[in-house]
Amino acid sequence: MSQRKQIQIGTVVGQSEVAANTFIISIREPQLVRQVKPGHFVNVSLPSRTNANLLKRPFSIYGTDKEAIQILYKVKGDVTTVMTTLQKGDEVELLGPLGNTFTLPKKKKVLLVGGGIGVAPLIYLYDRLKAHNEVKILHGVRTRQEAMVWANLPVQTHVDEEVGHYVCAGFEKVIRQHEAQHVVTCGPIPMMKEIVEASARAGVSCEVSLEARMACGFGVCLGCVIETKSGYKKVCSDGPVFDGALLW
Amino acid sequence: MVKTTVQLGPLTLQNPIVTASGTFGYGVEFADYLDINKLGAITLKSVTLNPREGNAPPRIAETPSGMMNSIGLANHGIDVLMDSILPKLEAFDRVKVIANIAGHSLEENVELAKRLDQVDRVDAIELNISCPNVDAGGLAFCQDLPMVSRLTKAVRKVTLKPLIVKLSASVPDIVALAKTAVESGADILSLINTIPGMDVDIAKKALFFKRGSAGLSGPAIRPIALKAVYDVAQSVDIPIIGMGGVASVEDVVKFLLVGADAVSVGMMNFVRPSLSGELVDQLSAYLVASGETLSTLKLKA
Ligand SMILES: Cc1cc2nc3c(=O)[nH]c(=O)nc-3n(C[C@H](O)[C@H](O)[C@H](O)COP(=O)(O)OP(=O)(O)OC[C@H]3O[C@@H](n4cnc5c(N)ncnc54)[C@H](O)[C@@H]3O)c2cc1C
Ligand SMILES: Cc1cc2nc3c(=O)[nH]c(=O)nc-3n(C[C@H](O)[C@H](O)[C@H](O)COP(=O)(O)O)c2cc1C
Ligand code: FES
Repeated sequence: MSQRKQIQIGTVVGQSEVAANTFIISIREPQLVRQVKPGHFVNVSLPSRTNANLLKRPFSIYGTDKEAIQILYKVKGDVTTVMTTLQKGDEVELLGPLGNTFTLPKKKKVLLVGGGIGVAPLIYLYDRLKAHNEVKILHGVRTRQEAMVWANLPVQTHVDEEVGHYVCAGFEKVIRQHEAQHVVTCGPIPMMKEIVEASARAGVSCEVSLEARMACGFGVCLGCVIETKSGYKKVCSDGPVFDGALLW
Repeated sequence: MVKTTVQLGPLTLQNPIVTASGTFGYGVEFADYLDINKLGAITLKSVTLNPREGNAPPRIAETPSGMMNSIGLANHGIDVLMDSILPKLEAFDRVKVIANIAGHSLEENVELAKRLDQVDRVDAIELNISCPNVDAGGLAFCQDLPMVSRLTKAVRKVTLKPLIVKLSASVPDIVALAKTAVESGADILSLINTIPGMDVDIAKKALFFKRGSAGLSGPAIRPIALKAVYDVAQSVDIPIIGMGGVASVEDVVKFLLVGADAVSVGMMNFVRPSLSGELVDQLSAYLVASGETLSTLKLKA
């Protein structure tokens, strides 16, 4: 019989603020690090919040560092606010890895397009693609304060309030400019929809990573469904990665 | 080894820990997290004759110490359940399987019960007359006592399997409801289902759920569930499966003390998938440590 899955207790090894209300937290959990692949997410809960906030919070894997997973997160509500106060040595509960994974092409020109915090899973994907592909990353943010500093990464940042919704509008042109053969996107729904449609027009494959309200994260509550061309699908277990053509 | 077997009328469970419909899939999904064969029983997701897509999203909202759901009885339909899901449960020989039926009409429930009556792997049938998330049937049944009586009698007639009737606490008089189900042929009662609630999206100035109302579950409803079980246990003589916010072995003991004969774990299966299996061990440990047996767990007079 396969090994039983369990909730793991991870230990915070560090955290830093990287943009306005945006943090990277590293959590040591060696078993998880061995299992994760780009696209996966983990379900997190904080022991101090287990009565107030029962449901676990889903976060994409942003990266791994030795025996720790890294999460890039934006402060949103109850749990992410408390998360910012976690310090080295604090414990968190982790369930994962959950969900499916991104396709890993080889010898292709790949364009990764992240909107806001949606860039998180794309950075981990970049890490696994860069050796065998030519990869570029576009990061769209609304304000200068949300822009992040990307050391050693081929990221172009577009600040909406300075240059308009460049990342979305005329995206077909962007695809052609980059001669992209495969596009991957994660961010707000209207942005992803534009990109999926532009990719289809340009005849390029496009994968998206979606979000939904979740209760379980492993396919049993039926709470996280999204409408697709072939009926409702569960974001947590049929996704979070979907072929864009299935959605729009 | 302490004795944990419980007799729920015609249904014998190896221990009183059960999982609640809609919160444990079809059991097999949890095999990664615990040995499901050690549970007293698992209750399958509600089934209908035809497949149901369920309600439009969003379907989930967190609440203080709980959650609301508006799943809307999404399921693959009875054919898929019988042909491809129940056979997978053959491998688990000790855990009892309760099939939960949620037809929108009397006729549909009768048909479902007839079909499931033929299946050996189904150990009991639970008639769900208390789902708050559908337009036809569901909770509306519970609010109509003559209907509860007709429904229960009709289903009773077509199956020899133990019949559980699942009640809502969102009724004017749960004792009257329970008595109606018992007089109409229920072997066992289970309670409570989720409680209708609501959330509001401030930014959109709209109700959060498309149907407006959704079902509240979790520790938030435990006090209501304990009182419902207490009230019903005082006035009917058949076994009760108690549920509503069970999160720990202390909660299990509380339900047993107020009169439940078995206890079902619901939404906490999502939070801690291994919980039901842990509760089996913890209940045994509790009985040993306290010197109690399942039959001495009663409120003091
Ligand atoms: C597969 C997946 C991957 C994600 N990856 C990331 C990531 O890498 N970084 C990041 O910052 N955020 C990510 N999110 C969003 C993140 O889960 C929410 O921001 C977080 O749950 C908010 O919790 P809170 O308690 O701070 O907010 P609250 O608003 O207090 O949360 C209330 C409830 O709503 C849910 N919720 C709120 N916002 C979202 C959302 N956008 N998506 C799903 N559920 C939500 C919460 O889980 C909780 O159940 C991801 C979501 C999903 C589904
Ligand atoms: C997501 C979800 C889905 C549910 N689906 C069903 C269902 O299909 N049939 C049913 O009889 N009860 C269903 N229930 C109700 C539970 O079986 C249980 O009665 C209720 O949640 C109270 O227990 P809890 O507080 O421990 O969750 C569902 C509950 C939840 C949270
Ligand atoms: S979150 Fe429960 S099925 Fe997806």
